[in-house]
Amino acid sequence: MILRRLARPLLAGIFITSGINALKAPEAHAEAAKPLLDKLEGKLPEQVPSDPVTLIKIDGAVKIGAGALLAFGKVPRLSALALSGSLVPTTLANHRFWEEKDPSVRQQQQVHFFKNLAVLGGLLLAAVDTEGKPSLGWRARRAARDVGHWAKDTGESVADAPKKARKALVG
Amino acid sequence: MMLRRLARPMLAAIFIGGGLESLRDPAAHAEQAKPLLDKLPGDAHTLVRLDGAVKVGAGVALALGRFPKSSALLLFASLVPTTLGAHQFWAEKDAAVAKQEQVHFAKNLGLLGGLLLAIVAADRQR
Repeated sequence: MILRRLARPLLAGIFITSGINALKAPEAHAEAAKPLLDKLEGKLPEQVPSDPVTLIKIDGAVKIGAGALLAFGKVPRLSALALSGSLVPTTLANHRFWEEKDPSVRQQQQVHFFKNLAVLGGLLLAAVDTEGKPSLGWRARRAARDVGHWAKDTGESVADAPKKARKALVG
Repeated sequence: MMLRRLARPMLAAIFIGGGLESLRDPAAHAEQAKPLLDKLPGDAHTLVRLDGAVKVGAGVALALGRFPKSSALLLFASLVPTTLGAHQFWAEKDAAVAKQEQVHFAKNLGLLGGLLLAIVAADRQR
């Protein structure tokens, strides 16, 4: 649908640009993410790299890659999910308005926080959007129902078999 | 669907908050959107208040999933002038402010995309 072809690049644009910005200046971004990373210290699984700059670079690459895929409508649901996964820590790292003392900065950060929340809402809508095709859940329920019918039919034929056999032999 | 019931209030919150702000302090918002408001007929404060009321009303409706398509459409219609009026990064002299405004501009485009998805991704029972 034409609206989707418009909506997806609109939603993806901010991620592509912010991913490029992160790759251009990973140190500055790592500095901004420090309070959150300090809080998460030791809580993250071992496989996650502990170097903040490396994390920022990975996150930037995910934003550009998934952003481009979403913009072009390639694996849109998975890309939207990847972007949501990246947006949550980004928002928690950069827009901690509740910890801000200066009222005007606090207000600014609060607006960004709620805008990011709204973008996250948009990504969730993109992630559940099956474009009118039946969802996995619907297909599973439907398949289960069909299997039920087959089983019932089979059961009935099996139950009828002796009667039919006798008829064939005797009558 | 579960996720949609979660996504809509997330999408709507910023509009409810922003609309309440415009209703509370229309003067500041009229100042911010002056370049655009000057081109429109009617009193600037009244326009800002009207827009704030639309944002709050349609925002609450979208959050609750009442008339989700129409309310998303109303919010879309309100966000276009807001973005063009309040975030003219191209007209900004100060480089740091221009950068800030550009981020807001891009985020608002993202919101517009989200609203379009709220319009097309209507509920269907399955």
